[in-house]
Amino acid sequence: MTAPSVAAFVRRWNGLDLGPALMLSVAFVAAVCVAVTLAVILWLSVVDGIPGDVRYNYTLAHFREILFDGFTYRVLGNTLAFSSISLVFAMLLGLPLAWLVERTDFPGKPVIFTFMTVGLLVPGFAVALGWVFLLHPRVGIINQLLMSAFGLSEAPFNVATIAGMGVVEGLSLSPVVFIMTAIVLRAMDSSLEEAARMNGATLWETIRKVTLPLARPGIIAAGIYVFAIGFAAFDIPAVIGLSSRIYTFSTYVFQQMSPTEGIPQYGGVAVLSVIMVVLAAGLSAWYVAMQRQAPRYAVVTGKGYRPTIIPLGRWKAFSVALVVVYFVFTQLMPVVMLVWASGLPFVQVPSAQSFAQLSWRNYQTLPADMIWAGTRNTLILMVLVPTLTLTLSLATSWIVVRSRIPFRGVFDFFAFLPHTVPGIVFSIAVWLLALFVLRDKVPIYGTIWILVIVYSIVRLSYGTRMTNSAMIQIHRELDESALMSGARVSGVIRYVLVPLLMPTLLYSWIWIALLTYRELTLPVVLATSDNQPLSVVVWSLVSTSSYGSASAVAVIMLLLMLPILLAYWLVARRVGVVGNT
Amino acid sequence: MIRIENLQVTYRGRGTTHHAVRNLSLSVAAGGFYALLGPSGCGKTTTLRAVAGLERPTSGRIVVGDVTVFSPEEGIHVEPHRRNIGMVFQSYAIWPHMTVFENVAFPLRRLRPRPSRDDIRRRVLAALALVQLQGLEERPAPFLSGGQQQRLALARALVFEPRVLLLDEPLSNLDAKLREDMRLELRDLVKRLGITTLFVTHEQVEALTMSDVVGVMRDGVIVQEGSPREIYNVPAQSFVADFVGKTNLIDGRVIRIEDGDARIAYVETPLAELRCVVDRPFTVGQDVTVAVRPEHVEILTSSPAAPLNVAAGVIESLVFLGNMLECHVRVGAQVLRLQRNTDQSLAVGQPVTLGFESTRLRVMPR
Ligand SMILES: Nc1ncnc2c1ncn2[C@@H]1O[C@H](COP(=O)(O)OP(=O)(O)OP(=O)(O)O)[C@@H](O)[C@H]1O
Ligand SMILES: [Mg+2]
Repeated sequence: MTAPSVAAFVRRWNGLDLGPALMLSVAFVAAVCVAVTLAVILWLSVVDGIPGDVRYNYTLAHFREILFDGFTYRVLGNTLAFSSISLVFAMLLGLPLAWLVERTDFPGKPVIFTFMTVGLLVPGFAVALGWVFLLHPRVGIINQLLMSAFGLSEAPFNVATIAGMGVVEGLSLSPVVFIMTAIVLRAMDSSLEEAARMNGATLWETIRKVTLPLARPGIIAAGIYVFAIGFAAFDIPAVIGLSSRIYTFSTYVFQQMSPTEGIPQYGGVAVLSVIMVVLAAGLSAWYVAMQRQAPRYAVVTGKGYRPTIIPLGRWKAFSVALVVVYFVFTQLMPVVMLVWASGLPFVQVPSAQSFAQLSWRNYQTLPADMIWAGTRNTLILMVLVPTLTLTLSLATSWIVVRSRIPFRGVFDFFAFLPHTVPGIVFSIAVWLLALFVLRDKVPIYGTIWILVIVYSIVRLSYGTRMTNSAMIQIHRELDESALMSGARVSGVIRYVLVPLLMPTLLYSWIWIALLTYRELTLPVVLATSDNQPLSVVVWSLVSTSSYGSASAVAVIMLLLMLPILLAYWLVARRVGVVGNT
Repeated sequence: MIRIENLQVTYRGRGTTHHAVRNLSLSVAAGGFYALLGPSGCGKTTTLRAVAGLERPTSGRIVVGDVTVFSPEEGIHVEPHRRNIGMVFQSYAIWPHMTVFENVAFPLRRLRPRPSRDDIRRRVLAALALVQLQGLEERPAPFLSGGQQQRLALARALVFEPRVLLLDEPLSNLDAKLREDMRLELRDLVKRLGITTLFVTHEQVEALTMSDVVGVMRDGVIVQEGSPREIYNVPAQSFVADFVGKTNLIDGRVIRIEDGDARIAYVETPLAELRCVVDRPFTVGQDVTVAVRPEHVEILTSSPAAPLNVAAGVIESLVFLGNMLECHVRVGAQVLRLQRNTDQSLAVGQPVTLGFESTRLRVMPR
């Protein structure tokens, strides 16, 4: 090229605005990742032979096999019972707490919100482990205590049942109910309640006849949401129930993936996954419908009123005591049990003898290289996953909220899809994809990248919800005035949108990092010894019944989490939001 | 200079199409100040955004300066950031995360080749001095009053010396007193800089006091274009007469044309028979509307000889406006609006005789 033509080329290039194309490609990548993953599951469910084989036929045999298998229905029944019990428990605990905090003069509300947010973040497998130590028929210390105190020949409690696991799941989901319904109660127009009180209704009548009906769509929505989480839950049923062969859907699929004997039935796994996706999508559609209904009841008025605060009077001390008991049971006890178990060769009832046995042995004998690798992998994931998720979310939101591209809603749909798909299904899909479709062409299996990608796709629904709503709130003319000032789209994003979105991005970044930290469901299928994060290290110790070492690693994890939690708390206080899943 | 030819902007929603601008043409002379005036939703902002490049028209042609910036036949659609147009938005769109200085420096930093630091500083300070915001450079932009934000938006739009300036209701967010001051200040400023300006407003006072040419818009088309005086005194349609300034509209029919003088027409109305001076030919029997401004209706003290151009009525109400008195006079089925000096002694219920001067009556086809 001659000099002038180079100059002309550069001038043309300078004038080109690559911003929209870049945004579109990034959003496209996100949508394609979601679509391909789900397509693989669907495809494998109707194909026979070993996946990846060149010769294959389409068949409905897998569907027939699974649908005519009585055990499928037993698992389905188990799962429904499990999620119903957890729903009831979560509601029974979360709802009154939300009412106490939002509608009465209950003291120390910010503290409760903080504890509840922490409750959302404590890894489910750690809680489950704590409950095993408390209520397991053989090792559980409560059982041991009661048996020796009353001379029982059999353990009175058994956590390794559907009911037991449901209760534990319910306890750990109660913060979700709390936060979701607290928001509903806060937005409610209390003048309607006041009117009822003025007309002579008692407090209890008012709650029953006015408050609850008004908040009903919001409460039902929270209920469906929690039920769906329970339905897809993996870590609690896995830690507590897998060794006793008590299955829910997620653990059953997982067990089919890695059977103790015989080769895995990939077709069957795919069919089970499809069933889960369909059921979860149904729940999700119901949830969205309920959420839509909420404003119709004129619950959210947006007026700057203060809700009436009901004085608790002499009930105050009683309520405080109840809340303290709640926190002790749901959050403190399991963690204390972990710490206790991590210091002992085997779990035992506290006594002079067991105190004498406390030592650092479990920590000292930990497989150091595994711990280091796990810590490194977890840290890498915690940095890369939020960054990638928010990059994808930002591009998708820009396309959906700001651009005029036709069919831009499609991107939003795909970004939202992961919300409805159980995590275990995603990890299985990507596992099958990596092993049988990508194989050597894209040697991603066993690297940290496969985890980065799966985690990011799964968090895409959360990320885009955050960036969408934040971007909608930024006045369009702020972008347009930058364009008129000579900035390209890329400049608008860099100098105007990103700085204005920064508080939201920072908040979401830390939240996603924390969720990444506690994640077990996704890596449990996908991780190998090379790329496993700490959560999987705990898992593999649990599955070989090395409970002491497992608790030691879990305790280390909880300690490492503290500084990030602190950072989250500081940022959340500035942004003025409370936890969100 | 701005030239818009046959502009069409259509919004397509789900199964609906909305023609926001239909076949609009206008041209603003170099250094001219053109006001687009029209009721809410008539397509003013859409037109302005099409010139800016923020909206993509369905057809038409837009020339800014000597550059065609939009012309689908020639495959031209210049991106907004390359149009070299300064724009002040209705919301001002001040970037809240930047200081006053950074807001104004932003367009300069986008220039290629990029000006030197000193050059940027000098030009920013000059622009801020122009709008009298000296000394506020380091202030975070959200900590400015409404009027200061408006000036800042103006400084930012002018700092890179654009070819033309677009203003979308720049005064609508200010309080009444400030708005009045800013009208003249804004006009003086752009006139001093000699920058071609296209201005959008739904306030007739702004359009009349500030611009060289006013284009009155309705439903996506310009229905009349002319100097503020023309628009006010010689409205071409009853819509314009009614929208620009207060006016009384009286429906009637032409019954006679003066022999030998086609400029005089006699119109029969429910109020009275009116002798009017017209500026275009009418035929006998044609339905017309006669417009008369409130300040042009007189109250006669003595009874006239002939019953031509007079009507008897009763004062129905009086509204004190400070500098004048507005009276509503019922004549038959119609209530006419009049403006009087406040020192005139009038009372509700008082019978009055109204007089209409032939040259003050504006006859328009219906
Ligand atoms: N993005 C859009 N999609 C569909 N219709 C639109 C869109 N933007 C504007 N319109 C419609 O086009 C018409 C003209 O809008 P425009 O904003 O130009 O009005 P305007 O004259 O500036 O009014 P105002 O004085 O209220 O600002 C309106 O009827 C409006 O509803
Ligand atoms: Mg407008």
